[in-house]
Amino acid sequence: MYIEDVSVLLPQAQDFSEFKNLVLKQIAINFTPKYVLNDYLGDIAVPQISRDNPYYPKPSDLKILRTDTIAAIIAASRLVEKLDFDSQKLQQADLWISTGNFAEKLLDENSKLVKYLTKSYEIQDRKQRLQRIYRVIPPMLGLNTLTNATESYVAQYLGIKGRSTTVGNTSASSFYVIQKAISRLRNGSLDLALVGGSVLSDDAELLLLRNYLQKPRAITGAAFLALTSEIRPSTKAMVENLFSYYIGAIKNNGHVSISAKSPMLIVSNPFNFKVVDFKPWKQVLRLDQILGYAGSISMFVMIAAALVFFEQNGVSSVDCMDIDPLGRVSFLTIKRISNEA
Amino acid sequence: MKRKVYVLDYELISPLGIGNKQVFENIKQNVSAVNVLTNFYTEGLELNIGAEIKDHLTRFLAPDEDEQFKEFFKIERKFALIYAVYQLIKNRVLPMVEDLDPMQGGVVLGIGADCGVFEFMERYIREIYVEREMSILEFKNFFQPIDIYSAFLGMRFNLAAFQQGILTACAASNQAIGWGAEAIADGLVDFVVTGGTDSIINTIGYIAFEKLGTLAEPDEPLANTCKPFDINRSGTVAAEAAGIVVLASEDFVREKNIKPRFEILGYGSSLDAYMITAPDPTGDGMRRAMESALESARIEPSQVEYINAHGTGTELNDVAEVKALNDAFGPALEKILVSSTKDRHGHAIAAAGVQEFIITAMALENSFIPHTRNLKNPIQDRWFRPLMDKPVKKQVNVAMNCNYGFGGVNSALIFKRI
Repeated sequence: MYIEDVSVLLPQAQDFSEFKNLVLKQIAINFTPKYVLNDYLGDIAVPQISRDNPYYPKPSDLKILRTDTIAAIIAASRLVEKLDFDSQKLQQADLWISTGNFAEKLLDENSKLVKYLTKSYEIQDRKQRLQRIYRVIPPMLGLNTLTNATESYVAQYLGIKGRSTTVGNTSASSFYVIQKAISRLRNGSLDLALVGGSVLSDDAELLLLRNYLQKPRAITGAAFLALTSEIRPSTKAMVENLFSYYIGAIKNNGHVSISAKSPMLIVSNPFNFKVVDFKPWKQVLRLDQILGYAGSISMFVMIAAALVFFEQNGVSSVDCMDIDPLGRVSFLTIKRISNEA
Repeated sequence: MKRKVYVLDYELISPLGIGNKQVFENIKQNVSAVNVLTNFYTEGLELNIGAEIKDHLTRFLAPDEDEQFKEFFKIERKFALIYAVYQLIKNRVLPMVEDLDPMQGGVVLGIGADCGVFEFMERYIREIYVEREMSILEFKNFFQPIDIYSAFLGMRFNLAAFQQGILTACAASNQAIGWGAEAIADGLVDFVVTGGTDSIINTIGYIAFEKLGTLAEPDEPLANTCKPFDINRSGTVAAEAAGIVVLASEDFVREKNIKPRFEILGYGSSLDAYMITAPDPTGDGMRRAMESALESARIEPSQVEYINAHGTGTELNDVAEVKALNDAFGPALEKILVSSTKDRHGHAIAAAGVQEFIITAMALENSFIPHTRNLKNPIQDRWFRPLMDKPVKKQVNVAMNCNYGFGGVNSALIFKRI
């Protein structure tokens, strides 16, 4: 199955050309340390998205939208604009979404809700305390934390009405949705699938990562792929050799030994590297050293990085491997398709 | 479906009972679980009605359980629910997977995020912000634990090909069953444990839903509060549930010499692409999900005998769903039995799909099709004749289960009794 194009919106890489610059020069993005009550949580990077961006959502939606969902709307809109598919084909396309956590700014020490809830514990009378909690819960809380917000907003903004779902919430999810789209494309069910998602990093994400990493670094962002069943003149690459398996909890002593399908391997997460045998590959790029933990968009940014290398001479095939915090290994190969093909 | 997909077994925990037998006995007795909430403190709230499982389920917790899972069971209701279902079904599933290649099995569950971390929030805030202790971080590996539920079942049943959570709100577990069925149909695996778990029976989750304006005004008696498809409906009822459905390929069934109970005939999903806060009022997205399921099942609308509709009792859902049913089924709808069971067990959000799939399966196996208990004055629209007043006792073989989520995510599953 074929990759028509990719789109990314990440901290310090608002589009593919900026992403290319980061990857080729291996420039780590700038992270800001996050603390809770002086306790170091980790480093975080969030894209600064201008409201002048032509794809920036409507003001009426901003009460509900999280930063990751805004990034997803913009990244997906850019991709669709480049694709040049007619609106009917787009309307019938599948939309498979991978997504992470949903608690933006709600756990932050500066959160109004947290402050009010904290104060509520000083109230001894249970009835009064419940009334206080009732007052401070925002009316849109249920929608602010909606797990399929990225899927629904991307569908709404782009008019996509085909099959869809949202899978969460670690990096393995980004593999599962690619696998799903490819399975549907292979069995002839459709011509076009948009596959992508968003990742949201905040205190909750860093707390999770601290269980596995001493100095976790995490990002907010979005990335999308357009997958097609047929090769076109503009097709960039093809996907092969997909597989995934579970090696048990991160702390087990399992060993990951995979034979190379390409000279180059891209890995995106800092988990379990001690258990992976990298010898089969001539070149290994650790994308996590540039981007930090890309969570639920990991496989998409690895594929985007592969396309960056395809623009360089000599690289025609790249393996992408991910191991998530729960010990799930995902693997696929991206092969370049030249315009002459 | 490219390859046949069979349902081998299922198990349910619902406000109507712990386990299949108790749930269906209460369905037959026309019992409603809707009442004043007692699982959390509600005094002073204007609304305090719901359908809750009045059981802490601690008897299901194995004494030799891993400490982390024990702790998680205590603090996280969704995990306690799916853990209890696992305990009810494990002795039936483990022999099936005894010599299964782990790469031929997967787990996919519909999971409700409720309000994300807020289920943990009370303890988190108390310890980090008030008592200035960080002991909660012992449980940080369970923070935002969406993948933990499927990973737990994957570990216990040794199913390694995939372990994932579907996060599409009220459509989640119906979509999870559909995803699992397609994974088998496409030849990815031979065996899938699917289903889902969710609960909004907690302070912050309940209040957040109440503030969205989706919950019904109490009626007298309280059991009559939720009225799906009634012109006097005022909303849905908050609830909780968890269920597991076991799927397998034809090869698996033949090799193991297992008699399957149902065949999954078709699955469809669609997006409204309308707005996040309301379904498309034309029912277009719902219709496309139903038609997609019919197409995938390769059957005519008239071959469907029973539809367990989403029927939430909210103004917007029910009117759109009735339009969609009419548009998808046409005149054939007149002869199809249609009901919603949410008036009895409430709306279990991400677990709604698996709960209603299992109730439908039991209805088919018992030749007892439940009516919509609280429906007195149905929406009038073309061929829509919902089942009301009393159940229908007859053999029914082909059914469809429909669920739709916030944000316009629609799903429909068609299955046949064997």
